[in-house]
Amino acid sequence: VSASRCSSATALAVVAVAALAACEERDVETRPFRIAVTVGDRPLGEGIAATTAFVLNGVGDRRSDVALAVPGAVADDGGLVGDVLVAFDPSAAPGLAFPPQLHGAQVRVVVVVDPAHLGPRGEPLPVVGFRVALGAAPDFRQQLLLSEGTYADANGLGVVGPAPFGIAGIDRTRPDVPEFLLEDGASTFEPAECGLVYYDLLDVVDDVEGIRGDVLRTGERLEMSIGEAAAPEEPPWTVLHVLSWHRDGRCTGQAQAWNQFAAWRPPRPSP
Amino acid sequence: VSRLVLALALAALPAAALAQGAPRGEPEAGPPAAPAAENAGEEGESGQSPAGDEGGDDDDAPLDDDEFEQDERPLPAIATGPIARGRLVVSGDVGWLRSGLRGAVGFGRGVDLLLRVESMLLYDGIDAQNSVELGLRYSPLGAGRVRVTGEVSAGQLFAQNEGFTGALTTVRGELALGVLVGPTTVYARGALRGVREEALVGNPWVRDGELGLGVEGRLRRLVGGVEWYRWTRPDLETLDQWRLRVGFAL
Repeated sequence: VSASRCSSATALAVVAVAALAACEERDVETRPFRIAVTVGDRPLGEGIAATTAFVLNGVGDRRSDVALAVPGAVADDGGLVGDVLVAFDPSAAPGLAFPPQLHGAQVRVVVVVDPAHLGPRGEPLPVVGFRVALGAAPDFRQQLLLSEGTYADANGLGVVGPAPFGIAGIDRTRPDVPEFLLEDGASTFEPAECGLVYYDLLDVVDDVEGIRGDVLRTGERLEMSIGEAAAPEEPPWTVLHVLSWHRDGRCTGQAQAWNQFAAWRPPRPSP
Repeated sequence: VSRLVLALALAALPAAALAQGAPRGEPEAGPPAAPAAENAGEEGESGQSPAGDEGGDDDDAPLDDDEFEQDERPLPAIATGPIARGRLVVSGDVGWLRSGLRGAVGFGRGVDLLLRVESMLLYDGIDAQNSVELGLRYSPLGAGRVRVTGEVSAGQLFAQNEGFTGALTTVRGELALGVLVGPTTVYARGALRGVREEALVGNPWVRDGELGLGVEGRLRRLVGGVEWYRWTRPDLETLDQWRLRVGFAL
């Protein structure tokens, strides 16, 4: 019996030491799109003081899955902007790409630049979103949008930033883009170094009917048709909720909240 | 509100322990067919080792002189059941990520009632997530060297955000298998928990689970143990967790 108790005590001690050695913490791995928009060799919006939505019109030149050029882009008033290149990092959303129908077509790109915006680690991240539409005024049909940001409300809960959705050129009498809202999550989290990081939820709303479409957790996607009455030939949107979170406590240099999502339409089916 | 609920729950445990003092010596009023194992509980701990081991502790004296029946009585344990009818095992555990207090009362026939309160004490005191759960545990095999225990419970999870506190409903199922080796119980367990996130459309339940290995040792009425477990979460990284436990059988 004494040998048995000794072995039990030894086992307990070994397991206890091993257990005490592990207090595993984990933070959320956040990989921004790092949207880069250049005019010539200069960043778009260089030197601006306030959040601005830039409108760029021209013929799309799809250089790669993640780079779209608009040579000789012009603003809505016809003023020349220059040769524009829009690019992003797809590592957070493998497969995300500029749709092929943008190549060689008349496109309208709206880019939102917030010069004071910082990324999840406090790094400058001034371009917080863009959308690309096909067509010429006034008949635009949106094809792709990307959005990300560290915007939070007074309670520290994440909110969608000054999105390129709902401003600068979307005809609300004939909408064809879903709307996005964030809801703070409470059930799923990471035990990070300076407090829990909760994964948030993305509401995707059909702004035609004003009815909630669905709620997406991180990594989830859905298909949603919008504007079918006006343009029944347009394929449905695919919405991808890449990642959203907010922190309950944070270390120096960390953002309070983060949201990142994308939506795109495939090419129209051939007649 | 969550702190109030936690305080009430914490206060309820010692109160329940005191309340269990009276029936300790009462005979079970169960049907004659009920196995002796359901009657004896912690009093039968000496049945797993020579009587001399317990060194004259009157609390551990058997209820009767039938040595055969003593061998059939369940040892007190925390992770596995059963607990003898009318008896109580209170325990506290400190661990990563969760710590907590629990009380388990034996109903007889292998059925126990559980109350569990947890917080992330080592991580962030009671400022992170706290929970309270009430459950039932059934242990069809409680008298021999093998313990099998199934548990279902439900409760509330209090998730605190900056400027917001939310209470989420939880449901939980657990299955544990233990083997007694002398005064030690080695066990494995698996648990599945659902947390109801009201905002989700369609299926509002968010799932996580635990797969654990542990060992408990016993010294008279005192039970101590350590457990390592993996906290599994769909689509998220699995995290290693642990807990140290101390319990007392009343």
